[in-house]
Amino acid sequence: MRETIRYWLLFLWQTAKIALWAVLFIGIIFLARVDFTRMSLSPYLLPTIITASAALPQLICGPGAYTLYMPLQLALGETRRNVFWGYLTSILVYALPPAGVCGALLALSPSVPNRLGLTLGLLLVQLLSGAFSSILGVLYAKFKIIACFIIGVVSACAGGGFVTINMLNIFSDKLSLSFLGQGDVLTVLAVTAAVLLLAGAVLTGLRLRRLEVKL
Amino acid sequence: MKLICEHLTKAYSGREVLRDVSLTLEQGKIYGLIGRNGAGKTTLLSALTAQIPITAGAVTLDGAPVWENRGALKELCFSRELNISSESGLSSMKVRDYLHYAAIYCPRWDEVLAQRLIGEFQLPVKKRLGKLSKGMLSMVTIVAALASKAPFTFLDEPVAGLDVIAREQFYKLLLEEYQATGRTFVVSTHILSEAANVLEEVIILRGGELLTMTDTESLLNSARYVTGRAEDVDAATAGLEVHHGEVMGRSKEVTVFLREGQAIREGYDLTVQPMSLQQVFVALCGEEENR
Repeated sequence: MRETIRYWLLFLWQTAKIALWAVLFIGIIFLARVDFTRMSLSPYLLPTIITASAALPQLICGPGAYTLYMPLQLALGETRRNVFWGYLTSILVYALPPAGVCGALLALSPSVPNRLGLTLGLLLVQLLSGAFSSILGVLYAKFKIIACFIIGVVSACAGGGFVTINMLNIFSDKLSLSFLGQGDVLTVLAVTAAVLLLAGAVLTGLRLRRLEVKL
Repeated sequence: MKLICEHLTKAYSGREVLRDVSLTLEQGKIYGLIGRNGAGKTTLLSALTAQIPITAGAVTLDGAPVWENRGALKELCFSRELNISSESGLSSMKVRDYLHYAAIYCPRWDEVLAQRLIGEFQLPVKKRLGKLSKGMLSMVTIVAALASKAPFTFLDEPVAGLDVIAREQFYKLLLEEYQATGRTFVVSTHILSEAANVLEEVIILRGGELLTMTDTESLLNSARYVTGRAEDVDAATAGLEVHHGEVMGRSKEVTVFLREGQAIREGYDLTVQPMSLQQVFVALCGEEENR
């Protein structure tokens, strides 16, 4: 299991590197537009940037996990069972740092209501993104072109929509993520994330069971 | 330690690409896996190392199934031919990253040897696999295989794309490693002229079936290339195992495999010559075409 952990940590690091560049890039764009002399910096700004920057690379890298990292891991001598659990664990592990950092940032802003609920909401958003990436990964590995189209549309809708709405909100000084911490929203997010994670796990298991290594 | 496969069959949509293959690989030998394109060599290596599910049969290492058995898989290393044109995304991976991943999974990984081989082959470790030539890609697989130090190491077409000097270098390294460690190597190759001196045993696959598995020396000692008048050849070889007969006018040429105690009958005007491994392979597998 030690090998699996090391292997998927390296995969996560590849994804996280893209995320860190994205944080930097989006952060510069956002901050460049903030007029510090006229308005106060929204406490939701950095959590928004971090969440978007962490989720998008995950959606992009998900297919790579299925077409390269899983077959390579099997080629190197790992069991399918360990590949399965390693990948699922990596989704959970990947969700924790961004949500943790967001939680810490929100904790520094006493004006934000329901900070714990909001942090949980951001964690669930990360898990949703991970679950999506696993389902899209299976689709990509199976259907290639069609899945490329689906991935493009989903990424554009989810990521583009999230970023655009929040950019508009930032520029009009209305950025707020507080809705994510509301009880009914949290319930919907939790149920959706659980269902999608389960679906992703089932699809991944089915794929791995019959997977033939080709590199 | 023994790796045994029994009645191994692998089928795709009902079409059998490996049929009832049974063989035993012992520790401390260099095996050559030979067969024509599509004979099932890569499929067999993949099945032996649990990289593909099999349709029927069993693969065991010292009695324990290899499938889903990390303990057994730790003893095996299958350094497969890298196909950078595939959609896997492998082409964007750097050489050093690929070797780093290999190192994670090989408990006996020899980093000193890996660095030595990288130097000898002048491998550009910072380059992406997709930027390497076919020969360079082969060198990457050779580094991974030799540095893995796995007791059973499988190399799929390791000399593909290598020039003659690099091929000689590879066989020299293989022998060095073999003599130093007594590891088992299974090398699939098409280039038999250089491999013949290195391979202790040959496994010949034909159309998905195990045609023969025997030690190279015995195979070569038993094979004779016989030419002469057709009736003389037929009379001298009657009752013997004859392959790849070709008639040209009144003359005939055949390959004969002699079992223990057998001999080509004397008293006929024939030319009898020993054969190279490549000629034996053509005699055994070339018939497939004519069947």
